[in-house]
Amino acid sequence: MLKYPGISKQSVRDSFQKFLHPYKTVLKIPDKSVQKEKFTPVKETEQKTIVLSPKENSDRVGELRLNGVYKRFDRVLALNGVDLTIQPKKISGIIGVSGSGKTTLLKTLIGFYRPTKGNVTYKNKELKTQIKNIRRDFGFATQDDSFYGKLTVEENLRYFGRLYGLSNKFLDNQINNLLNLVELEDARKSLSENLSTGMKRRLDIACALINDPKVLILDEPTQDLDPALRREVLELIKKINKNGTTVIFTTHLLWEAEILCDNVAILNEGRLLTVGSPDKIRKHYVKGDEIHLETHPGNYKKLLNGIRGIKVKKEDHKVVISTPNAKSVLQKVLSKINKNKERLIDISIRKPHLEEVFEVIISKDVKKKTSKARKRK
Amino acid sequence: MSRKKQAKQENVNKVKYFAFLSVLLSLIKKNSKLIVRSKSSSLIVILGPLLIIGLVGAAFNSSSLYDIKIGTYSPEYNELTGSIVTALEDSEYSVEKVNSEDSCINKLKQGDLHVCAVFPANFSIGSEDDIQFFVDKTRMNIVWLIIDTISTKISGKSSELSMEMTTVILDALTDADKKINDKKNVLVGMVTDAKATNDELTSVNTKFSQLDLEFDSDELGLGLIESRLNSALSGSNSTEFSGVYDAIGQVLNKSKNLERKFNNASFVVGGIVTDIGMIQQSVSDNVKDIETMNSVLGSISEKISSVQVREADKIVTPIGTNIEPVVAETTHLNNLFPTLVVLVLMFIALLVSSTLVVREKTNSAYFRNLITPTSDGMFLFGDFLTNFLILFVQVAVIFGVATIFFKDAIFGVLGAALLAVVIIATTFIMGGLFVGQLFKSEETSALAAVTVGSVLLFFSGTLLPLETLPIYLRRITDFNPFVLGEHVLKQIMLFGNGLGSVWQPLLILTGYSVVLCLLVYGTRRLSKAYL
Repeated sequence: MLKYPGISKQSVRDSFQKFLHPYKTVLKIPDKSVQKEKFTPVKETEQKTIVLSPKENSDRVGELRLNGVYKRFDRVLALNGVDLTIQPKKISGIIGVSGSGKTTLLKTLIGFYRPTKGNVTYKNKELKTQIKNIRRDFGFATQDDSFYGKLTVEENLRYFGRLYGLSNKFLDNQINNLLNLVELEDARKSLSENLSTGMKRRLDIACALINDPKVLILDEPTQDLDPALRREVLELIKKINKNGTTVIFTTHLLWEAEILCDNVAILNEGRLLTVGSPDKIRKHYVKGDEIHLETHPGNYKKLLNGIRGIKVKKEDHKVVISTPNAKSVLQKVLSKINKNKERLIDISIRKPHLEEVFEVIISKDVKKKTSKARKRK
Repeated sequence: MSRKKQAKQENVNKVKYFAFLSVLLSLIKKNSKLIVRSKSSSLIVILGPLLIIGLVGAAFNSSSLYDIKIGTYSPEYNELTGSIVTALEDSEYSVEKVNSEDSCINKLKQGDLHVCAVFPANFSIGSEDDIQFFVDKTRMNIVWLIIDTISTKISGKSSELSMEMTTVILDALTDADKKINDKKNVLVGMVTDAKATNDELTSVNTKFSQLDLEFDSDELGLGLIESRLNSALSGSNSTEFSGVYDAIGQVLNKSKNLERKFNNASFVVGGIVTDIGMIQQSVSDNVKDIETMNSVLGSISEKISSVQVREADKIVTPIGTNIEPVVAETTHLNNLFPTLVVLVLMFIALLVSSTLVVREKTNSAYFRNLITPTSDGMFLFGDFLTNFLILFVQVAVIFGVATIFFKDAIFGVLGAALLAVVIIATTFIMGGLFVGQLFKSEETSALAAVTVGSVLLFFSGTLLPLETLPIYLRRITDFNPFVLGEHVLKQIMLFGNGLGSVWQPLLILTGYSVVLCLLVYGTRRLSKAYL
């Protein structure tokens, strides 16, 4: 039976304000930056995957691993030698642009696709050999609403529960708990097609949880949702994870991964470019912090003149100053503001967003590929 | 194995069995709810068969052909053509007199007429020109029926005319026979009279023959007398002797004349005798002729008498035909019912099952089904049972409605018919599931299902007679599931045969089901790889 500890609405709202407006996070470094594990790169496939996650322990129970997985659909190589270890009871995010192979990766993880090469193991057992038993431990929510519109909320849950061979007694309890968790008690008898978008997404996740899975896989769970609904879903994911369920989800919204994931894997064209916590990745690829500065009348050239070791990028009325020594630069900038009699509108220090890191990683990857292609020529 | 272990194993098996049933029931419930809650589907599923059976029942619950339009053209209608037209009109066909042959043919081409009859000018009995019938052979399903019906009507009229003529001939013959018999005595009398005449003539001839008209003047001795007188005279000159002499001379001359007359008479008598002989010969010949004629007339009379069939209708149609149906003569619906059942089974099974599969495949929930521990076989079985239950309900409706038309006749064969229906339905459901697996959208799958159904129907003999097909194609159509199903149901429902007589087609249908089931399973597994 599932047990999800209650979270106060206020705390959730606060935390999601943070999620929804990460650019406004003033002078705060996310808690997840505290990572003390050592990081070691893994074997090379075609290109190196930079693994910035805790050291592998293959004996670890509950571990889900992809070992050199290739998946080919006719001429398209959807997965190209992916090595990935999913940490149990954590939230893992798979990030990539559309067509990068995220969904294929997830479907391979649950054994729906058989790898063309390589294998997937769960609890040290190869997935394909015990697919039926292993599937009982997995829950999966796709990008679409994976339930029947013509069935009621309860009928959908009961139907999928039956497919897992669950007993009536268990299902009654489980349905009640899930409806409570996803806040759909009042819609129990409503036809699913009549639910609102947010309710549908919550029902979808409830359907994925009907078998009380140990691993919940969500394929772009916040896709096409407005910010408020997105917040609801992210809140739900956190709630589920707090109960000890391993959550794997894909997204192309990097801030979601940044605020939600313990670990992130960046995928591009079927290749896993890097794996690790968002902070570690950020630190690995982008050195230093960013100072976001907005003044009036905004004579930034004068303000930043003479300060060394900074990179400046103008964004509308403000500038973003990248520097490895944020504190000292900040002091200098503040003194110059006073001197030049500029009016300070906003100033903040923050780590570079994963989005920027992602851009760096992708551009590096593109450069590598281009140079390789040149060499071949 | 210890008792405890055995009990545990039994419990496990029990749980597995109930879990299996539970999953199956859940699948069927889900599928049924999806169909019932979808307005269009429920409309097809519930109202479809009712509509079909209702319409077909009302339409075919007769044994006649209605509203067959016949166009007729004749440059000049006369009594005969008029009577033919009347005969056609009497048969509940609507006859339209058209202005020209071309117009008649054009109307036929446009479908305004079913058949066009062109009568020759001055059409009469024995006329060298025939009535020309134009038919539209593109309407293959009805043209032969029309040709047959019209031919029957025309040959009926023709027979009627033949009857009239034959009656006249028969009357003439009877009359001739009667008259021959009546006048036979006259001929016999004539022969007798002729014979009597002949006898008379013979007698006359004999009498004439007996006449002795031989006369020789010399035998009178007058010549001797004359010569002696001459010698006497030469010695004496007596005048008196001269006078005697002259008188004798005159007698002599007269006797010569007499002799000539006798000779002439003898000659005439000879001629008469000859003539009588000829007359006799002629009379004899006549007698013979009359006897021959009598004999011939006797023979004719005998032949006329020997004609045993004296009724005109028997002569016109000497061989009577009576077509007896092998099943009790009722309505078109009776004969059509097995076809109708298979038709409904085929189309509903193909459409509903393919639609169900495609809807499931295109439903966003499909993927979630596939990642559960429930096997593909279970899903397949669930889909099959859902469709089967739907069809079962429909067949129940059809059979229920059928009892209104067929009364008690259907109850006797209900068991065997239902078993056959189960096998037939299974084949078509599997076909529908396979079609559904092959296509990605509801539209294409429905189109494919209708196409498959139409092809099976087209080559079933329901629309077109299979006898119009080349032999090799006909052999193939023998394995058409529609043909097999129809055959099975006809044998059971119309001819009252048991299942034992149709085990072969049932076995073939079962074979189809198994093959299609494997194909459905295979394609389902294959399609998952590209989801």
